[in-house]
Amino acid sequence: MIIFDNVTKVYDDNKTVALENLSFTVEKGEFVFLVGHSGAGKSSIIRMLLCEERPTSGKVIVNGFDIGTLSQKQIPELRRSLGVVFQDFRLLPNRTVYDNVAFAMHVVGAPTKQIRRRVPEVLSLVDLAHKARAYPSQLSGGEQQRVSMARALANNPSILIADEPTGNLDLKRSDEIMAILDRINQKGTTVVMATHAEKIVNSMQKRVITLDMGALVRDEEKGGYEVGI
Amino acid sequence: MAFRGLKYYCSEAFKNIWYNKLMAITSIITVMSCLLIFGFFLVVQLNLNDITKQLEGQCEIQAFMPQEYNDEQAKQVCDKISVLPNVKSAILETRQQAYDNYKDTLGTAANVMENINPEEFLPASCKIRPNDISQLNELEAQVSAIEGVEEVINRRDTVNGVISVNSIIRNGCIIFAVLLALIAVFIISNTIKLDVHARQREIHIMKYVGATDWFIRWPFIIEGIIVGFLGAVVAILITLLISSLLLNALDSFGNIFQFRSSSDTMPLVSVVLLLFGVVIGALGSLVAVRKHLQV
Repeated sequence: MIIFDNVTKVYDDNKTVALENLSFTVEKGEFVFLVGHSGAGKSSIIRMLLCEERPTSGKVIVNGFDIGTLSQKQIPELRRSLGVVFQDFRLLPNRTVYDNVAFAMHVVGAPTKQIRRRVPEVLSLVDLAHKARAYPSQLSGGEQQRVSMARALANNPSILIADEPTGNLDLKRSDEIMAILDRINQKGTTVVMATHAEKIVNSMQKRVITLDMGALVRDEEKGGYEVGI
Repeated sequence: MAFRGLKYYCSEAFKNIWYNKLMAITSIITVMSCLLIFGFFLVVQLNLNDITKQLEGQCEIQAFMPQEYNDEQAKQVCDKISVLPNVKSAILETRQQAYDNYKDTLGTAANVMENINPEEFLPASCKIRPNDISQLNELEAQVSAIEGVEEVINRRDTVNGVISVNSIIRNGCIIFAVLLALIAVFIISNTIKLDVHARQREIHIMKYVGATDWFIRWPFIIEGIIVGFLGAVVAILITLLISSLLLNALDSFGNIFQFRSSSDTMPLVSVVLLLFGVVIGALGSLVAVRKHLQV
């Protein structure tokens, strides 16, 4: 599903080594936390999963796509097999909750009938069916993040990538988001989540990949948040 | 592009225009201004083409005979002229006809001619139309050489003048059209660039959820086409209004030349302006979106 094989990433501009000889595999249906200090390499991994960045050396395979050799035209195909949730939600402010979710389905050319059926379905999954006609500005941070999750799930992705999804939320809202992510994972979707939230990582008891200065320092099956000082 | 896709792109394009009304109006006015100047030149060009043709058709030389030549003598000279090569027609104008024609031009003042003897007023002449206007000099020389021809006059200078003005305006029109198109594409692309820039976030989200570059481009291109189309429609209406007013004003000066009516020129001008508007609108959008798709 996701393979990082001896991956090194050096940014050309300042010769910064973001990832160094990194290797790990994520199987279908797993829930994996990526933890580490700022600059440890979490964002580089996320960007590589989305093919925003390519490895300097080594191999990255995501859903069968080789990120190193993927052509520009194939990138949309890769991204359609993924769902992405960002810390800042990235919703379209001038569209309703329904339209924000439907938008992701329009992009992949889904038929209108399917969109009308699927959007209420995913909104129910994140407990927001009653807010379909609201605009993002009328929602709390937690609700906005749930809309962003519904959008990520609209096209039934096999992998859900979450980049600090609870970073802007209080503990209660964060717990709600984690409960939904867990529910999604239970249904078979692989979840890869980059986070700084120690309490969440410790309470979930999922696989934890710890990074430090671009290198993998710990990979535990039911780990906790330990990034060192 | 499937129909479902087209429907979505169109609805997105209309929404974008609605959300960015001010920018859309700016673009429409830009396109309209460029097309208006172009449309005006086009109307002038079409009329000049017609005037040139009319003048070419009217291009004739007139061979005058001595005043004392009677109808019979004049006819003999005219017959000689009619068999020359490059003569399309040679029509005799007798002294009486010349007198009558002149009298007609005086209208209500014709009574001043009452005491003038037609045989002493204007000489008989032969009006000659050539087959080939470019051989007019040679024909003029041949006619002058015929016995009984006293003087030959032609309207070649006028025709040449109109032909050269016509070609200057035609060339100017082409250069102008290219310049206006470039200016319009530049301004539209900049206006749409502001729109694209304002919607950078939306484009990023689209890319993250797997939108292809063409999926992102189409609404902008359709937006450009709509802007170009609306600009062209306004330009057509104003061109129609101005050309109608101008032609009415020119008609009141008399019928020296037959100008094209608006209903005659406008179908062609409308099609050209609409095509021009739509193409520059689409091109402007394409240029604007090009740089913003790298995510």
